[in-house]
Amino acid sequence: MSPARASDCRKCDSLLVPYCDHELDSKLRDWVDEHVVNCKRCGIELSCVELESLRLREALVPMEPSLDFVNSVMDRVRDVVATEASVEPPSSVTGSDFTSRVLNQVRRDLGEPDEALGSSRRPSSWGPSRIAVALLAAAVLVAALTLPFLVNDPVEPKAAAGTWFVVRAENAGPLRVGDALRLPLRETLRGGVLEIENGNDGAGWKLGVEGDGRVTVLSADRVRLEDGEISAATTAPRAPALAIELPGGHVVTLASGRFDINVEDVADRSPMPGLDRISVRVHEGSADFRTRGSELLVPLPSGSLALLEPLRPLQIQALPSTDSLARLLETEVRGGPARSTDESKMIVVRGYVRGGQAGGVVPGAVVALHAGERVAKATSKADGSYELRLPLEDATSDEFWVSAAAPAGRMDLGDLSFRTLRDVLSAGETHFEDLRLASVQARRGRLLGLDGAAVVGARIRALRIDGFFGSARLLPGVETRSAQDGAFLLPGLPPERAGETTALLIEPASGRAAPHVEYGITSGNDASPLLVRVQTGSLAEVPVQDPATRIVWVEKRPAGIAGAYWRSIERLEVPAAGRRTVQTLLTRGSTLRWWEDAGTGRPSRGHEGDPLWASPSEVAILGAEPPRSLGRDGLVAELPSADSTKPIETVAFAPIPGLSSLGFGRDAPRPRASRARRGAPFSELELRVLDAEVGVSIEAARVYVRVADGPAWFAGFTDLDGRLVVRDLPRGVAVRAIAFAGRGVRLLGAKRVIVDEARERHRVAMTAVRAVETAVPLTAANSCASVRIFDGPFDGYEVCTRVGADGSLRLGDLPPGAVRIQVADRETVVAPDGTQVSDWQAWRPSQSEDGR
Amino acid sequence: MPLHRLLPPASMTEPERHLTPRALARASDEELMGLVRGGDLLAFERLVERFKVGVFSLCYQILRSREDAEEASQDAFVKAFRARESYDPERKVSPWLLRIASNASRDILRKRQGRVVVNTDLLISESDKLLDPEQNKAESKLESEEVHRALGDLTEQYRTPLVLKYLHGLTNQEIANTMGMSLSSLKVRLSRARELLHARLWKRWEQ
Repeated sequence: MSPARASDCRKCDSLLVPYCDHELDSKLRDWVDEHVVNCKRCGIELSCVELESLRLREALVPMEPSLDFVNSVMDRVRDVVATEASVEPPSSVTGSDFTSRVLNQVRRDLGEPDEALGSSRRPSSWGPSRIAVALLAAAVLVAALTLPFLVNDPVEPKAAAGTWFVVRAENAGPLRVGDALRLPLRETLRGGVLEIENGNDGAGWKLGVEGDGRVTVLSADRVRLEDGEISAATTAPRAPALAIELPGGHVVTLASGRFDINVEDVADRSPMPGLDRISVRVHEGSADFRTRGSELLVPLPSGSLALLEPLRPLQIQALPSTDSLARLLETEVRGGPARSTDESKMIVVRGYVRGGQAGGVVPGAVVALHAGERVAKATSKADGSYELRLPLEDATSDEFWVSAAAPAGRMDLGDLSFRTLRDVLSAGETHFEDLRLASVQARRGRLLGLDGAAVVGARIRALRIDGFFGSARLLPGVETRSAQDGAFLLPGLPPERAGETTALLIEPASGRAAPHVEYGITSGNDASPLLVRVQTGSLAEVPVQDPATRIVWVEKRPAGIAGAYWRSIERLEVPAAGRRTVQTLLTRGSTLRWWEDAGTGRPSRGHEGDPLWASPSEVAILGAEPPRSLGRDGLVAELPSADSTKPIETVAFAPIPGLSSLGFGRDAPRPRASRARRGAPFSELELRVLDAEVGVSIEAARVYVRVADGPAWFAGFTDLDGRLVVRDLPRGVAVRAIAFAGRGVRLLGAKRVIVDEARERHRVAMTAVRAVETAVPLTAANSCASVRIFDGPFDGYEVCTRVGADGSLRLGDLPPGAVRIQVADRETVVAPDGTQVSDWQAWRPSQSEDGR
Repeated sequence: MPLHRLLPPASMTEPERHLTPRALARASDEELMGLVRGGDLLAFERLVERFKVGVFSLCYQILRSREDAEEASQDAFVKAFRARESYDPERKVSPWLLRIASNASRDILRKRQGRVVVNTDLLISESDKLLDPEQNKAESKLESEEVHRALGDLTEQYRTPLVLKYLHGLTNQEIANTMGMSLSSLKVRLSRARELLHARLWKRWEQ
């Protein structure tokens, strides 16, 4: 069996049950129908599934309760009424009887039948008047059943209101002007220009069908649109509503007005096959949109545009009046005007930039198309629209990305918003991408030193920590300084995504010391000011061992996860006389390494030491052990070459080269280092994402991949079978994949593998995220709780969360695995699948003080 | 005691809120529930009439015992009446009611943990089967009973969505609302339930 055929069979297999349960849209149904005709195996499988469904329905027959069921229920309900009415019945009567009697008395007073008699009081035999009513009802029923056939009879079309007549037909097949349509139509309306009218008295709807759309008229007030575009209009103020069935089970109901409804197959541009983009343009009047499975009617007011795209929620926008998106869509659907030769080699991306809670258009945003090394930029126009053009030959990568930066005046919007356009762009076609800039929050607070004095002029930046991938990056442009009273306002914090936390990097104006890192600063809606106790640094003496040493480089890393990616380096000269030490400033929790030059002028002898904190102002360095291979892997490795004489200068607090994921973060384009070198053997990794609990495939899970210690990138969505193939991976390196599913994140899965073969298949089991809540003493309020997973696929996941002012501690979105929680100087462990935290008294003293 | 102090709250006895029996019969479930929210007992009785089979069948499929199902379905209606104020008029009545019934059944399921339940219906059907002269009918009945048994072997979390789907004909979204879970979780659960049924039952038939 060919791979394509096998893939079709897999797809068919997953569709058989919804097919039998009539849950597929017509397009997928047709696909299954066609496939089972050509594939004997799937045909047999379909018969089996149909038999299963039939047997299940047969076995599940409705069952009657006992004969006095209703009376028993109503007796109990009357008791409830009596209790609710707070009536104290006399001791000689039961509540039920007493209440019933009182209620019935009231009802008799009001002229209603006696409740207590129930159905026995009602006439059980059919009197002459009832028979007459029944005959009348039967006559009405017969008339109602017969009428539609009379109405739809093409022989006498003009006599009946509510049917559809052809009023214009150009190249529309056998249909001619004046024809009445027999409903429902056996065949769909296709091709040419066709205009039909509902009723011939001017009180109905006019429907325009143009091009190769697939439209089926189901009844006088119901039409199915499977592909293409229809225009619907009525001028009658009291025209009955017209329902348009759309692919995927969505329905739009049109009240009077003028509308364009478009269904476009975007299977070739979507990560999922067989998906449609639906747009409804309300030029006049109003409509209601009901998405599949929802009971909620979304109103579409006049002048609105509803867009429903694959894997996205329904978006309602204002219908652009000038550079109309409607026109753009028409251009795209109908192939557009003739293109020049140059145009055919051009990648064109168009769309609108929107932002904020209301989703209004954002003019002045800088939009960029990234294609490998090349970037095309544009600024969004007054109506928020943008257009990017990039010659295909300029693109040095097969991956394309669009980014948007909010205009300078819009402080409420995030600076950058990235959307993947992976594998969907091709030259000569216009692609539409609406970019939505996230709303940002501000965080305010006050910095105080350990002595209680305000910390003035400290530089404050925001560090976004990705707990899932263990990376940390500075949020670009998010920076402020503390005022005279230590107060600060840090604007521009974009919302955190699943697995992300935010920390403040606070560098006192005095510099030199490693910055204070305040973890667990949420950028959510917490409006309470933040009180941060800042350590401004304690003087420490670092011992020098080699008598020939003249220069010492001291590397300081802040406490917690930030220390894994960020550091500062201080170049210090050893005094010619006196004690063989150098002095530096340290903050509590920071780690320390230093190198001596041993007379060579280059770092050649490495040490790391444990600071001993006697008091907030005193620190000593103990146990200056020569660390293992620190010399070669430390600073020396950063020299341009082994024999370079270039001096290493003081480095301000900065990311460690090669470890920090700057700029794009989790949305980074795939890094070059993650690909096999040209000519070298490469591997393909086929991931199958499954629900760990029930073992079934998870469709449309987002999968991120990271090779070795490089940045993570978005590899794509899983298909119907929960599969995703990552290609062109270097062999023999560790690959980590993390899958997310559900809005927000409800399911998480991770896999770490070393790919050695040409093609490897691995399963990624997904489990539900969990939340842990507990309380710690008020003395630990506002402190940082360090949380670390130390087994399972998320081994190493680490976040810091802030304890609430009331001592409450809530950890959400926790992946599976045993969790170590550390607060102040105590720690506890939560079982791999547990959510219960032991009582604070049972927490044990923590192993280390630095919170790691 | 004066009569007016014995009356239920005014909302329960508003005469204009009562409908005639014919109007009640024509009213939709949601309209009836609207009346019940105002305390109309006749409207509630009509609702009980309409839903007694559905609710009882669901409870029976979960509990596999007529006695327990009777108790659970009565509890469900009483709870529904108590909770009438919390009913959202924008939503359909049936998923709301079935959710209450499913929870009531689970309560009984928890209570009877450790108690052995003899399914009298199946015992009766076994004897009926022997007396049944028509072989085809007997085979068909046997198959249904096997499905019935296999369903009974499933845990409640897998049985309930199947019952709601194939007996009550609810859509996936309605089942998800009824069971208080997301649509994707429901699909996963339904799929798994069918797999389990398949493993336990259909394989035997294929043999």
